[in-house]
Amino acid sequence: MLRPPAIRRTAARSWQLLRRVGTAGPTRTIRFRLTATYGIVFLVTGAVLLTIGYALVRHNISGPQDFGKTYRHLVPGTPAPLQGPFAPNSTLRRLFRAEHAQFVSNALHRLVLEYVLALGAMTLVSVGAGWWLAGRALRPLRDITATARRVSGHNLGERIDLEGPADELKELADTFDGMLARLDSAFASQRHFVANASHELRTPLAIMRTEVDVALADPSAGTEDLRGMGEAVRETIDRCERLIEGLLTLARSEASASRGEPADLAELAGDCLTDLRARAEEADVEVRPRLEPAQARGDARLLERLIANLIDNGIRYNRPGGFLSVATETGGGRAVVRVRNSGEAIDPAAAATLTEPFRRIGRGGDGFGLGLSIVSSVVAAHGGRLRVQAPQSGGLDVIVELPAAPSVGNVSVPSALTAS
Amino acid sequence: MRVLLAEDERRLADAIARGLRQQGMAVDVAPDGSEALTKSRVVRYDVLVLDRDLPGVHGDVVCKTVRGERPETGILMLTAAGALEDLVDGLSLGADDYLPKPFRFAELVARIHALARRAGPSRPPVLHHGDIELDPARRAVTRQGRAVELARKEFAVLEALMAAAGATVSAEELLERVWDEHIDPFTNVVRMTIMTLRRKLGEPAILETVIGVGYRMA
Repeated sequence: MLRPPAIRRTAARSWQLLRRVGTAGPTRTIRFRLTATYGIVFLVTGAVLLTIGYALVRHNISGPQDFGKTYRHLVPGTPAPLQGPFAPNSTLRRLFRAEHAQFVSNALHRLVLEYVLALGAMTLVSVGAGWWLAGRALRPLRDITATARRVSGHNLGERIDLEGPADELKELADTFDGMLARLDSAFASQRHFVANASHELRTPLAIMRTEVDVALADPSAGTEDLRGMGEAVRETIDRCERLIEGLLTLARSEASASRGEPADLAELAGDCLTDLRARAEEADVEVRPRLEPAQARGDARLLERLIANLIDNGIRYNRPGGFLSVATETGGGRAVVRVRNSGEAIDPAAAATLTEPFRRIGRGGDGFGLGLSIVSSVVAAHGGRLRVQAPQSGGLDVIVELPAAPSVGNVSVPSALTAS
Repeated sequence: MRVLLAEDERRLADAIARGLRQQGMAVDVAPDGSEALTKSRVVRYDVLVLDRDLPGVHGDVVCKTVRGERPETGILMLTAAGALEDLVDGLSLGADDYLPKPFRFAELVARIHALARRAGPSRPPVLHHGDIELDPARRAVTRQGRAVELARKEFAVLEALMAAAGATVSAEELLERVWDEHIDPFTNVVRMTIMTLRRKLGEPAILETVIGVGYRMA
C-alpha cells in the first residue's frame, strides 16, 4: 500500500512523463501536425460523405413499396384496389413486406460495415500520403534550418540557395540568404576594424618598449641618450592619444542618433578654416573658401569635427602650391559642404574605400586612416549622404549633403543680443 | 653579424637598429619591401628581421623571395598581428621565427643570435679555439679563464674568425660581416681592428695574416 508521500511522488513523476510526451517528440513537428490534420479532415469529410450516401441508399431502397403497381404490371387486367393474394393486409403481402424489410436491413447493415472498413483503409492511405506530402513540402524548411544551424560567427559564407518555384519558402530562403550576406559583411568589417585597431595600437607600444629597452640595456647611456628616449616615448604617446581620440570620436559618432540643435555649416567651416589656416600656410596650400549659409541640424561638435577632418585631409594630402576649396550652400532641401583639394591623382576605386576605417592611400604621413571614416559615420548618423570622388586632375572631391534645417535667421538675432 | 632590418615604421626601425648596433651587430635598414629585396641581393645577410606589413612589396613576398634566393639567411618575422593563424602563416611562408609586436628587446636579440647560429653551418652556442672562449649571446670573451674586454667591432671580427674554425677569412668578407652598408669599402679599418685585437688577446699570438688572402685563427 502506498503512503501519501509515495503517492505524491508517483503522481508528480507521471505528470512529468505526460508533459514530456506532450511537448517533446514527433508531436511537436509541423509534419506530424499537418499529417494529423489531413487525416482527421479526411476522416470527418469521408464519414460525413458516407453517412449521406448511406442515408440516401436507405431512403431509396426502404421507401413505401406499391406492390399493387408491380402486380398490376405483372398481371394485366387486375382491378384497383387490389384484390386477391396481394390485397392490402393480406398474409402474403405482410410476409413479403417482412421479407423485404429483412433484406433491406441486412443490406444496410453490410453496407455500414463495408463503409467503415473502406473509410478506415482510405484514412490510413490518406495519412500515409499526407505524411509524404507534408515531408515533401517541408523539405526546404529543413534545408533552411540546417543552414541556419551550420552558420556561426566564423562561418557566414554559407547560403541556402534554395532551388524551385518562386513560392513563399523560396522567398523565405532568399530573405535569409540576404540577411546572411549583410551579417557577413558586417562581421567582416568588424573583424577588419578590430585587426586594424590592434595593429595601430601595437605599433606605438612596440616603439616605446624598444626605445626603453634599448636605452636601459646600454650601461653607458648618458643623459643625452635617456633624454632622447624620453622624447621619443613622449612623441609616441602623443600619437597614441590622437589614435584613441579618433577611435572614440568614431564610436561616438556611430552612437549619436539625436537630432540635436540647428547648426550653420558655413559658420563651423569658417571656424575650422581659422584654426587650420596656419597649417595651410605652412604647407603652402591656397585656401579658397566660398561659404554661404547652410543650416543643418545635429550635434554641432561632431559636425565641426566632420568639416575639420575634411579640411585637415585637404591640407595634409596636398602638394606645395596647391589649392583647397571649401564651399557650403543650401539647395534642394539639403545643406551641402564640398571640400576639394589638389594633389596626386588617386585611383577612383581606392577613393571609394577611403571611408572604411584605417584605409590610407600610401603609408606616408602620420595619419591613421580614421578621418574619412569619422566623416562617413557622422554623415550617416545625421541622415545625410557622402560622395567621395577622385578627379583625374588629382586630389579628392568630397561632397557632404545633410538634410537642411529651416532657416533660423530671425531667431538668431535675440540669441546674438543676449550673447552680447 | 650582418642584419637587415626591413621595417617601415621609421621610429621603430631607428630604435631597433640602435639597439642591435649596441649589441655589436652590423645593421642595415630598409624602409620598404623593394629596398629590402635589393639589399638582400647585394649583401649576404645572416639574419633578416622582416616586418610583415611592408609598403611596396609586401613582407610575405619579401619572405618567400629571400627564402628562395638566400636559403642561408635566417628570417625573423616581426608583426603586429599576434594571432596563432598569423604565426602559422608566417612560418609556412618560409620564416624561421616569428615575434609579435610589442616584443621585449632582449628576446629579439636572443632570437637573432639563435637564428644566426642556425643559419650558417651548425656551430655551438659558445665558440672555443685553443684557450679562447667566446660567448656570442653574453658578448663575453675569455683567454685562459681571464676576461678580455673587446669593443663591438673587435668582438664581431673575432667571432667571425672563430666561426670559420681555422679557415681563412678575407678582409672583404670581414668588412661585409661586421660593418654595415655605411662603411667605406676602401678603408683599412679591418687591419686596424685586427691589430687592436692582437694586442688585447696578448701572447701567444693567435691571429695569423695570410698575405694577399686574409686572416685566420692559428
